[in-house]
Amino acid sequence: MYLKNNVVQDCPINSARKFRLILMYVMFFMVLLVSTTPVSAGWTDTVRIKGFMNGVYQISDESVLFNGDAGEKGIDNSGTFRNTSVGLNITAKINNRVRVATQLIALSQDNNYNVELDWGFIELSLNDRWTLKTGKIKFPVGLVNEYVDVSYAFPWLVPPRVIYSEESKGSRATTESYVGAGVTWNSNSSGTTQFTVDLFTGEVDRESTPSLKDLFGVSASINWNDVVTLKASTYTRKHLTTSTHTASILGLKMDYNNYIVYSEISNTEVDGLPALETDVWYITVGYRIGKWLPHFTYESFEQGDNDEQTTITLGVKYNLAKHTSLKFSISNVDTDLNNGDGGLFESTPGSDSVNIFGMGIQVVF
Amino acid sequence: MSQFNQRISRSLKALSALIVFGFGGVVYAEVVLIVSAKSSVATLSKGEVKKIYLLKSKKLTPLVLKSSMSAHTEFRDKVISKTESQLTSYWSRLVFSGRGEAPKEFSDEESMVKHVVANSDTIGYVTRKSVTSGVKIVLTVP
Repeated sequence: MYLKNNVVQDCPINSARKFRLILMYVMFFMVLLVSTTPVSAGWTDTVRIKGFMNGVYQISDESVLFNGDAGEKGIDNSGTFRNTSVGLNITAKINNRVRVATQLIALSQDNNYNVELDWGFIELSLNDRWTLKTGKIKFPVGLVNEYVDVSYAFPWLVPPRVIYSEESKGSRATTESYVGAGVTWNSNSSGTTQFTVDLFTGEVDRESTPSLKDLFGVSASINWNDVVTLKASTYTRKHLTTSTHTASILGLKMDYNNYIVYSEISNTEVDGLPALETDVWYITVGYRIGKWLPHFTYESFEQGDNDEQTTITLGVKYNLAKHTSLKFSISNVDTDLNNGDGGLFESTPGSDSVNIFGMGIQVVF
Repeated sequence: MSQFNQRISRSLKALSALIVFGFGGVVYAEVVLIVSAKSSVATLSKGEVKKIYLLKSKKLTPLVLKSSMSAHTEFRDKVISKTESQLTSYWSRLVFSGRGEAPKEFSDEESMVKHVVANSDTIGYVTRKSVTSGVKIVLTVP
């Protein structure tokens, strides 16, 4: 009713903003409805508020920015609190079938915190297996993309940049969110194996660059007893209405006894631009020792004709208290200097080996 | 000598009191999974309960006690088999991706029982002594 297809197509640039406004109205209306209706459950049973906060500091021993540019503030030898964020998650169960879920996020950018809708959608459960949603939705691709800003929920200080980065220098394997619709099928089986399939379609509204249109994607995962998760995703979308961008990601996650493994491999292509064809992969192995989770990550990045750029990271997550963790990490990037391309750096760095140190605190509440 | 015997018997008494008290404690701390007496669910397996709490089954809406309470620790260790931080990060992943809702938390067993009585689609856990006629036990934590 609120998101007619023709509205989305007629004004692609404003539709996301319009949708946000509409969503706010829906929320407001709903809250009014709930607070004025004498239901036994009461307001506090219907609306739930949760939140998260990450404080991150990273510094390298190189003056060329890593994973970002002057505008976006990547990491260099002057240090950065980039990726520091606060999020507020508000969900309301309207009835047994309909749920409205929203998440606001404030990210540090040029020392300003811009609050924006991280995601927000209306979800309709048709039955135990089928769910429909429409709104601003996180790309259901990759192992952690749907909660990529919630550092408490994964081992790394920041997720492997070869896959989880939206910078122009990155692999473009994931995009944070789209505006559109999605359908989820869950096997909801009684056994130990669970299957989930997501189909999604819509467009990506971006502030500085043209919108990405005609997005279609599918993501399928198998979870075996919470020990092994395999996830395969692929999607396609149009850049500037001409070139087609295709990305595929295959991921494996394992949590067995105290061993933790995350590994993903991805290929991205842009029609007619072989220089942008990117192949990346990483593997993370960790071992839980009480409140400590030390882990090791190897990342590989290869784009166009350029040589491979690899990164080794040693990190540790420490569960300080309930809902609070501390993380430290040290990375070494082996840059390729023969090609004149900086890989994930803004331009070719002065040194062929760059160290990056990072630390942070993560809270959920 | 008799003084020595007396001392022995006294310490034996203390020991047996300790054992009795200890067993009493175990009986009291027995944790049970409860649903409303009006619910159509009669009994659940440990696996089914785990699925409900990990939000993989929509059969019932799970409720939790504050993590500092012993009934919670008992339930988490024996049914969910995850550490507290593993469980909170598991729920965080679902909540902050919009895929699910973290269970509502109660700071005392009485209010959880009241909530279960009033909401026939919910499931909770309490120590056996808190069970009332408005609820039924669907699983006893081993």
